[in-house]
Amino acid sequence: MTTAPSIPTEILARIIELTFSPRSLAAASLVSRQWNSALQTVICTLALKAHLTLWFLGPKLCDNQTSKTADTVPSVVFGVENTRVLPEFEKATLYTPSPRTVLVTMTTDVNVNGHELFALEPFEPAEAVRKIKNGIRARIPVIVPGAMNFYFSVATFQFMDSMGENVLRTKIASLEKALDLSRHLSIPHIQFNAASYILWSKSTPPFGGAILPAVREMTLVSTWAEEDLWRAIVPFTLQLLPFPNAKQLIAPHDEVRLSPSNLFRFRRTWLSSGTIAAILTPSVRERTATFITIAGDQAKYNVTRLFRNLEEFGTIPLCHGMFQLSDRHRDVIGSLPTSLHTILTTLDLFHLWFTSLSDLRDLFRQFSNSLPQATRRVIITITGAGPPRADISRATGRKLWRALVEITKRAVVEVSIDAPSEGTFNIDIVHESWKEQLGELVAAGELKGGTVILDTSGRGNGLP
Amino acid sequence: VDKEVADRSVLLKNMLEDVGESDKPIPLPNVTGKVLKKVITYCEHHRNDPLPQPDDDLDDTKRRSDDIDDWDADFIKVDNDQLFELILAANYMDIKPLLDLGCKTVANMIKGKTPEQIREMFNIENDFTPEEEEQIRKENEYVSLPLDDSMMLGGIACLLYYSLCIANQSGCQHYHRWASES
Repeated sequence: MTTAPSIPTEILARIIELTFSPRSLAAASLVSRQWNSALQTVICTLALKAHLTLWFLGPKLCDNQTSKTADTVPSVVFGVENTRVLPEFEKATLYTPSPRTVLVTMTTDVNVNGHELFALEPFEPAEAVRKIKNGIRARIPVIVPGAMNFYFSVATFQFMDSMGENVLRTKIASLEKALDLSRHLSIPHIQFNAASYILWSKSTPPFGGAILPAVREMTLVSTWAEEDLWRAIVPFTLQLLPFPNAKQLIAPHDEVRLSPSNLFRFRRTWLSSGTIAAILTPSVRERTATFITIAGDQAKYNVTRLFRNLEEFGTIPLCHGMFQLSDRHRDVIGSLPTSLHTILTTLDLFHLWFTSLSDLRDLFRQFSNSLPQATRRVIITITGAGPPRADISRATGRKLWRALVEITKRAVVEVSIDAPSEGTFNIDIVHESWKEQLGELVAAGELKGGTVILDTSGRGNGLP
Repeated sequence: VDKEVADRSVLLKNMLEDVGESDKPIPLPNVTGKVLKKVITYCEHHRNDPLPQPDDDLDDTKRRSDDIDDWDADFIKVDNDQLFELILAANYMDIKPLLDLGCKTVANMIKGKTPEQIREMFNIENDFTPEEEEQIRKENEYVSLPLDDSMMLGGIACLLYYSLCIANQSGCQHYHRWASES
């Protein structure tokens, strides 16, 4: 029964690739010379995923090292920290255009400091990239097949020190070199802390360096002042950054995405109304399809009438309707464009508990009547601390479902609870109880099935 | 076999286009009658499926081995000899879906198996020298280390790195950052 050896090597390679398992690859390499040869053709199309952090030292230390290294043969020494290879990764194998498959993930911080960047200066980018990869290969605590690539998932630019004007040029040159390396490594995700981003914005021209077409995502890490956030979001929305294919900018509390049809989706923002107004230039407003802010007073923005292509809007705090005489939220809803199909709202759990069923129904009826014509989806996030006892939560849930009948006449309602489990308030018990009550009301015909959806995933409906 | 079924094979399709309308038999010297019968069964069942496209390999779903439908799974339940003959026939006749089915089936068979078990399953001779085998085992450490061991090695690497940082003072900020994150 000599079967497998008669199979051409390229078919064997295909079989081995289909196992998508590092352990199977390892086993295949030891079966026979032909299987090993087949494996070698597969392995160079696979990769290890590494997290690359570009890390810069302070100017004094960097200068000292620079002068010391200038007399010696340039060598690239990399710090490789927190290495953690996940041997069995097949269930979460990633697919990338090149290399085709990331088979083994390795969560590793690879530090490239200013000194090391200096050592890379004499080399062409391709050679510098090769040296980086070899440097990593030499320092990770496991042996990696020579043919296997590294897939760099993210580059983080962190300047930790204050930057005097005297070292500004050196620093900018280092940053531009690091960005250039990121370009040659086809890194899809760039992270900046505030200091590095501000430095980059001070280059001449601002945001200097080569275009990085591989970048799909930009993240602002660590602490950012609102003014600095504005400096980052505005160039992104005006597409002034050298990331022509970047589709999203994510900050700790803010997120802007660019849709396939080139529309902006402000998925969440905590910025003040003044800063938002500065970001939302007329051309940006024209292209904004989603605008979701946590700030409770959208009336202040006075911008809703100008979103001509708005599809999703939020977050409207419904408790204003119950406990305040102001009709501001109704004014905001009334001014929304007719294209709006989704509206996000919040409802405080404590307010929900105190309000009578008739008042809640009245609020929902008014809210429903004022919705734009095209609105077919209402997302309600229940927020705040919970009532103290589970039995009260049960009563609160039943009241909410009954009152929601008013909105379901117009739109599908998605409800999620974003309240912390505290003391006797257990979110899992509340989910279970509310789900059961919802089922009962649907079975009794009080609510039409599918018109109210309880999201128990804990994602909070994507709200900020 | 009608033309629609024959067209599932790119080899036959091209040959038929070359010879035009004819009653002459087309020789398939590399395929036995028994295997050809099985291939025809497959092609008849899949006669209405969309034909594979050149960029199908870029489709992630085509690169899984756990998506074999029930009929195909039943069809491919054959002994190892016939399985490899089917793969060779599909390769020769250029029937990509059948080739994929055969490859996926073998891939599923070798998943989780040791080299010794794979050799035994397919009666393959181990033609490595002990030295070569030892070298390959070393190269495979990255996939065969238990998680805890790799984490321990990571820890050792960090400690070594810290020692180096102290030794030349150049990387002390690395350690401070690492320590603060740990």
